[in-house]
Amino acid sequence: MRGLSRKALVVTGLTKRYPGVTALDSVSLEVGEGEYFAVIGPSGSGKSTLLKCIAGLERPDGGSVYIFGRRVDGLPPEERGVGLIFQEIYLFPHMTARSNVVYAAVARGVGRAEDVAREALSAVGVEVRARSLPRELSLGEQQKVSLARALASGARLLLMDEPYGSMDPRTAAQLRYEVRRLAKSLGLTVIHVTHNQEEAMAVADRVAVMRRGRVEQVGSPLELYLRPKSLFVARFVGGENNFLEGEVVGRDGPYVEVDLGVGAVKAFGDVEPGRAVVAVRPEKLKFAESGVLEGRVEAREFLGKVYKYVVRLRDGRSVLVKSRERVAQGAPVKLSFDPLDAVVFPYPPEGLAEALRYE
Amino acid sequence: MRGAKVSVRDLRKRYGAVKALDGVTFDVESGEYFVILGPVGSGRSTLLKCIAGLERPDSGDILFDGESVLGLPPEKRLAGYMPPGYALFPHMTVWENVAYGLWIRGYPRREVEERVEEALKLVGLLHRADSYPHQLSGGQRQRIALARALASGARVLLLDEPLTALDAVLTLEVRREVRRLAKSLGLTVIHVTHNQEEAMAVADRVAVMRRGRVEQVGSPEEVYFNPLTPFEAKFVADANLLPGKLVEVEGASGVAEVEGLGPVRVLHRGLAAGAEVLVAVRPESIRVGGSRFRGKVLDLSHLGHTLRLWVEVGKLRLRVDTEPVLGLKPGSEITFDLDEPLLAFEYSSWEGEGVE
Amino acid sequence: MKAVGFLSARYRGRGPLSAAYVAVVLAAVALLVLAPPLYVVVYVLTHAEAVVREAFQHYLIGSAYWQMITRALLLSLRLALATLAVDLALGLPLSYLIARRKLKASALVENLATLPLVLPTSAFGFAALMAWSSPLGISSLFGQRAALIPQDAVLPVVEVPVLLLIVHVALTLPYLVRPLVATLETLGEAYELVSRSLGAPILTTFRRVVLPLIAPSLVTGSALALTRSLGETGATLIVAGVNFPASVAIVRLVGALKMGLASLLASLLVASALSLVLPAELLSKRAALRAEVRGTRLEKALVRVERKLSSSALLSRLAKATLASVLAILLLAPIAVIVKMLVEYWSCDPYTGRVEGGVLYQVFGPAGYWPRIVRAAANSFLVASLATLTAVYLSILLFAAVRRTKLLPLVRALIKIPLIVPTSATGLSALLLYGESGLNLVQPGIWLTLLVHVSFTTPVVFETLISTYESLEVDPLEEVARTLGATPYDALETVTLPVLRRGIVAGAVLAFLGSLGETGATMMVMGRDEMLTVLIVNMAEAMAVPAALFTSALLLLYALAALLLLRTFVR
Repeated sequence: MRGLSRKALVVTGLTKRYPGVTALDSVSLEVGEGEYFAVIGPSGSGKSTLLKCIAGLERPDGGSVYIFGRRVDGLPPEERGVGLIFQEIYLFPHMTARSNVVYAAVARGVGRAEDVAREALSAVGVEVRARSLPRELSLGEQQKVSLARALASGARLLLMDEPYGSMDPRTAAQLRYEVRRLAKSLGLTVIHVTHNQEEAMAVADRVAVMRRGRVEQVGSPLELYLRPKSLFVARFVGGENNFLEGEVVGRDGPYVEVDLGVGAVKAFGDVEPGRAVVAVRPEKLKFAESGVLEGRVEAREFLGKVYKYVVRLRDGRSVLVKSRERVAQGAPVKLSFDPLDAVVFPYPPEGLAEALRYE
Repeated sequence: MRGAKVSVRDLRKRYGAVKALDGVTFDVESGEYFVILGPVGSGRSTLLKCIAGLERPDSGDILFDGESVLGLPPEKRLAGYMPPGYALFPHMTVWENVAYGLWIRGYPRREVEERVEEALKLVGLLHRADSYPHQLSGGQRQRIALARALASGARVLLLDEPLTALDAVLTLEVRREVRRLAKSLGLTVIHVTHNQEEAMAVADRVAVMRRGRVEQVGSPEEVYFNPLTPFEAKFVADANLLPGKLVEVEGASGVAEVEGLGPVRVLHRGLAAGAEVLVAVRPESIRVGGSRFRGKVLDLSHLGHTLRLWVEVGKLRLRVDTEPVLGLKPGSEITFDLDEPLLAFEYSSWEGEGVE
Repeated sequence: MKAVGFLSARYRGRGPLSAAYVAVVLAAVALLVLAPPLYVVVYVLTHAEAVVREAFQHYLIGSAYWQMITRALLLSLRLALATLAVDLALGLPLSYLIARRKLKASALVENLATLPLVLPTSAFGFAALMAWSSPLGISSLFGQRAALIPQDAVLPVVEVPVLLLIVHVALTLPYLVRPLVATLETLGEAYELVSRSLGAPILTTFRRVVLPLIAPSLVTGSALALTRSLGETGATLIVAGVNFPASVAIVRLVGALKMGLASLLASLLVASALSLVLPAELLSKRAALRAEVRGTRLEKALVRVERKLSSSALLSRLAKATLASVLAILLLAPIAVIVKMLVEYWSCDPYTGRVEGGVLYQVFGPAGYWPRIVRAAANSFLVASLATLTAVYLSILLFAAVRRTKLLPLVRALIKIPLIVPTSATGLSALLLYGESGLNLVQPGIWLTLLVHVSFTTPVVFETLISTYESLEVDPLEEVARTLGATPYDALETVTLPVLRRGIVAGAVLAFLGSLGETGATMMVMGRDEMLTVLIVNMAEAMAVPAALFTSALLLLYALAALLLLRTFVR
């Protein structure tokens, strides 16, 4: 197939069924060489199964996997040339960090194994800890060594399954940037699977959002944040969100007019008249002199950078607002938003709660 | 029910050479929601266990409502302890778990039934009374652990990292729920966490702990906006710490010359002109789009509602948080202002570790 | 709400366990568990003069007894080491194949490898003797009229009787395979998958990753297999011909009322077992093995060879087939032969045609073995039940007394002694300790048997309990229980023990099965209260082949049931 050779990974129509569950439902993806690609979704969405099928740890029921243009269906993991990074880091506990890396080079049968190992260790910046046993290293260092090990085995495609899942959030937040920089400077392609949307958004060039064995949307983090294509993506990506039910009553250029019951607002989208849902993020709602949404501040949390408010609207609905302004509890407020910052969806046939459900 | 007032007086505890607690003192008012914020290994769990009676401090005192409880074994302290992971009894149903505290103290059957039912209703899980813990979701387990502590008649709730076992979205709902529950019952809560946002969101007051010591006690806003040490500024607000020199002093304010940025207005605590300082700049107090300073974007990262930039200004590298905007990429030139005054700390007060 | 209530309600609400309680429990354990296997050494030291005279300066035969003792002891050691060598060659690949489900019938093979654990050894010994050395055994399938392996055939170089080696390998294999399989399963397949994804062939992965990681349990398993072989008495008694090892020599010396000589040999056997096993135990406790990898020529060449071998499908199939069939022949052939011979001997002796030589006549007819079998079975089950109960009770008391103290490692090490000491030595020791020449408390019979069985079943229960305790995180549960109002005792009774229930049940099942199958110690102390396993030995010695066939078949049937019990409750 022409054109495939420039892609690090192509997945076509991948399907995997377990008794009673379809873990992967005809998933297709293309990842370019050198791209940092994240796959996110709640637990049970099929993201780990996808990774296992790519790595050769699971046999898909249908579809194909191409790695650097080579079709790898049916090949065992050792012949796919991918590096696996897991949440449980799985450094060989009886070998020093260096030996772990040398082992990878020897196992692959490369010429100057010791040199390859030294380069890999210095690339990830843990050469000073090379003589330590894994249990003497911090979790972050351990994960770096496992990265060096994957590099020494000659892998140019890294598959990472919740790589920071076992670390405390602060270590994880630091390490994720280091790993991204490393991958970029070495020209590696990374497939990073996680349930943590913030982690994926923070480091990925592109993100695929999975749900129930299907890919809901693929896009850059900003696209997913600003222009989610489904209610589920709007809920899962970018932190908390407000979903307001209403009725589409008209159209105005790229916007539609939505009657929320308490008044009409404009929002971005292309939705036929009828029941609809407006998604507007808490940080996009502004306290204003005038606004359709009127209510009272019911609760306030201080989050550091911003305050988070629960505002009870006049019709009983409540919305979340994030703002740097400090407003007293109980104060009457009016809220407004830029129509560009709100996205309209047709009302889902299965009901709003079901459309937003995680599992 | 009324929560106890908890007083901790100069508590010390050593494990071999490690000082887990190095003179900890604070008061928690009756009904207060008190959060202890600190990195792993700062002594927070030891402190909680000492209050519960599960560890014996080497010296110091712990008082509930003014009376020392050091001589009391854990079963007589009426302090409900919730370890990370909740430790629900796996061989008992939800009902039996919640009833345990009353049953073991020999309460009459009628009263046990009433109070268990009440506690389960309070956390909204009466319908799961016959389930076993392994059949529950993470959030449900947490609520059962809470109900178990409540039903046993605890006057103080001691929560050790109560939210880490939950996924991120659930956390936001659960933490508000726990606080609401505690407030409505008038319980005193001491909640331990390493998560800055969680601490700010739920606390009436926060104590920042490090290496067995309390660095500051104050309201979330005080701790966030007016940290007493550079460690706190970095740990709580993720501030950039920039070295510089105090060049003008006028009372508690002054001007500091920051290497690479130039003069900025600062607040300090009694330093003299000429002092070497660290100026703390919170990532969100850098206003992109201003005009005073210029920098180059090294890298950027989307954190949902904020965009994190790494900006190079001369030799400095600044972490900057701004609203998500299109068009920025590595290499972009930006201009920015700073929210002044900034906080200046004595340079020598920085111990340069234990933050990341 | 359920409560365990293993002491009594009076203890409700009591404070911490008192030092006196701990002392009493430790004393009881020392007396009931440790004294029986070790007293024999004390006996030799206190009767040193008489023992030495008898061994070295006998008025008739000089030092002939000493020569017999050393001969038996050396044979025991050679036999044990040869057994271990074969065990390792078979057990290591077998464990891996079982744990990773690489065999078509992994579950079946695992059951097969576990069977000897529950097999009453004397019954198996008889079956093996019939299979390999009787003209009606395996050789008859090939139309031969001679024994396939004569009873006294000796392996050259190592000078170990072939039949003994076969039987010992069969009986000790599970003690190596079970811990290895368990460790491999706990370890999981992840390290191997990682290694393979790095490009390493299976054999390199096994040598460089798997082997070092299971090394500690390899050492423990080997030590167990060694002690089992050194102490094996039931089957050995039946199979041993002119060359007999120490465990049998002790039985024969006691039979000849040479208590001093028997004690001397028993003490030497105890000393050799301890000196072989204790260093191994210490070794396995030391920090995990470190194995460095260097990119040397040798290493690269090895990997190349391993890659070639790993990729050969034929080789791997051949190895699997060999392993499975060796195991099947070792264990299933004797059982099949027993069934075959039972049919042949059912109504009459197949050679002479005399009905007196048939099973029907001997068991149900005038020879009257049936009531003896029933009585022996009743005795055996009674002892096993009571011993298990006592062991469980004692283990829980000990657990409560020492689990949070610094004594725990010491207690854990010491309590293994009854498992290391050969059982015939334990039997003799108990006889000397409790019997007429010692405390004169209990005479040989069912109660003395019970005391001896308590000694070697308690460690089994205690060890299972402690390892369950360590694998589950019970301490946070107890801490929470304390803050909810439970005293230390309440927390133990209402939380810790119920949570550990599975471990206790597993330990009890293992103890029960161990007690039922034990022969060596039992035959020393049972007096006139015959036990099932010893009955077979007696039948074999009385040349009552049909009766022995019948009883063996019964016991093998029981073993299958026991296996089921084991698989249900253990692990």
